[in-house]
Amino acid sequence: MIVELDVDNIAKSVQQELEKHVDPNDVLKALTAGMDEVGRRYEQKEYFLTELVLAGETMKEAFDVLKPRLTVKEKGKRKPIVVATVKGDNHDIGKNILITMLVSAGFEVIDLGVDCPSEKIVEAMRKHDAKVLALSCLLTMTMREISVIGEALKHAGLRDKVKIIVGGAPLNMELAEELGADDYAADAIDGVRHIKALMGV
Amino acid sequence: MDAPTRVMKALNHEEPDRVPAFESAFTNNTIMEHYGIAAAGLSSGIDALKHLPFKTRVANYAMSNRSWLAKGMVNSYEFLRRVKIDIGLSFVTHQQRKIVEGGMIDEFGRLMKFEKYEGDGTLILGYRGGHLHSFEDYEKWERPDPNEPKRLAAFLAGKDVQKQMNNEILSVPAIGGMMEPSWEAFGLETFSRILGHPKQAKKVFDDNGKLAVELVKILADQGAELILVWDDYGFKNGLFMSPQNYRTYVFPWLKQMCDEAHKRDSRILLHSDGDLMLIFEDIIKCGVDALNPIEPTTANPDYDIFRLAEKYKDKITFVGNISPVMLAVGTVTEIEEYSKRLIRELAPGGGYIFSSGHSINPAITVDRWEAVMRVREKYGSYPIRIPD
Repeated sequence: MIVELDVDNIAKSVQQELEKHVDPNDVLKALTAGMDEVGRRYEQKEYFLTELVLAGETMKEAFDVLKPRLTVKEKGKRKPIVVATVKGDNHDIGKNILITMLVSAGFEVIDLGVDCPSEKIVEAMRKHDAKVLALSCLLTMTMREISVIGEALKHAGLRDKVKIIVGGAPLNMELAEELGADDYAADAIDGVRHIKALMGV
Repeated sequence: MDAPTRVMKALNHEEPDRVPAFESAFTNNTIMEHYGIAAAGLSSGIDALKHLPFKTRVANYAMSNRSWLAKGMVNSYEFLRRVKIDIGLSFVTHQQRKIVEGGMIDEFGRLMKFEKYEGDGTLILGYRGGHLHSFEDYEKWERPDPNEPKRLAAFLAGKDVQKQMNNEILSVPAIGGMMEPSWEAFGLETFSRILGHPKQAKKVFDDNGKLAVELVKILADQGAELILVWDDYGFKNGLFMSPQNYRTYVFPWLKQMCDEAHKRDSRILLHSDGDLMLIFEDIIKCGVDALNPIEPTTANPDYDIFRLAEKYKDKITFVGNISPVMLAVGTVTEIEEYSKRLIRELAPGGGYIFSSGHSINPAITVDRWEAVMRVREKYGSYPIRIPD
């Protein structure tokens, strides 16, 4: 139902599956497989941004029903990723799509929102012991903030322990490296793939 | 040659005296001040408005008064004249419905807020989300009226300033299209849900399409030579929605807009960011006269102005596309070489208007902007002669 983008009926279907005593982890696996297929269709240009977003909405509806039934063990396995839009930038479309994809892929996401100062990022990285920081930046005039965040992490003694991945309209791999990031992703699907590689999963 | 003649010749694929220039947005206080234009007007106006009672009513009154509007445009048009940009805009849609802390909700239902660039205090009005949370919200929202007098006041104010400046600037009315007002009123999540309900989606697109077509008729009847349509169809990685959805919901209206403009001897300049590769021919078939900005920083290497021009140059006027990233961090030599290449390959025979590949944002430095100016001045006169 994820692939069919059936946002209106997925919650009911998940509920029915749970009432039939299907293992919640198996339901989650099926949903994740659906999101993977949506990602594949997006990359093949069979699906477009609105379909990707609607799949994310469908996943959220399903997850709301499923989450209370997941075992503590399953929840505990989730590795934390800190996600933020850099200071001075209030755009969150790309960031929010990435978050949905990361949650679907089994990560715990700490969303610091938009216009996020470096101090808040350092604090969150430390608090959650996150190994990956994903930064979104849509504006040319805010991309220098990526360097500021890198410096703040260095100053806090965390830079060597974390990987920074960036994405957004003005960026590419060359600029990402110039700004001190470790990696760049062209879109949310690519982002999940790169983050998995950075995490070694 | 005056600006209207220069721009219209380029649109007719004829060679004017020099390559015309356009920017969809010039938000850079440093460059404005460098050319002797104080950029404080907007900021102080917004600050003053904060302390007024009935601020929405006051703002509405100000936006309906042709002579006030003209006074507000003089500085920005004068700046454009000084940097040899031929087109100034008058904003016919996107008007405020309600003033809110730090910005407004516009007539389409979009929450817009001012963002201040820390470097030089440049204010940029940016989209911050949809005010409408469901189709039911949409049905209760009062639709923008194409005949609202303040629209014509904005257009005529622009034309007044154009006349005052002896046609050194062509004032062009800017209106909303179908895609941007449709999704931005809701935000992408709610809009994507609505798109899953074809009757609801059709209603939203048709409402915006009817508005846009009516506005084209009104403005062209009033003598608008060129009308700018704001309507981003894509982003860095492709299209917002499928080509089929554009063909179903958007392009029938875009075609009507072009047809109505052409019947009245007017032209359509479409501004759409993003990688439009999959719908490029559709846009041409609709009859769009000029396309801006052919964004150079998309993820698709085939979405390349030079390759597109090889195939479509005789069918549409290209308005672009020096990268704002290059203008912010590139070397002066890179900027000069790219600017020269744009003029050398696209300008001969007309059908080309020089522009950035998005906008002039506050990260762009004076020396880099001046590099563009130097190339335009040295090599932008017809006949084009630029050594390889």
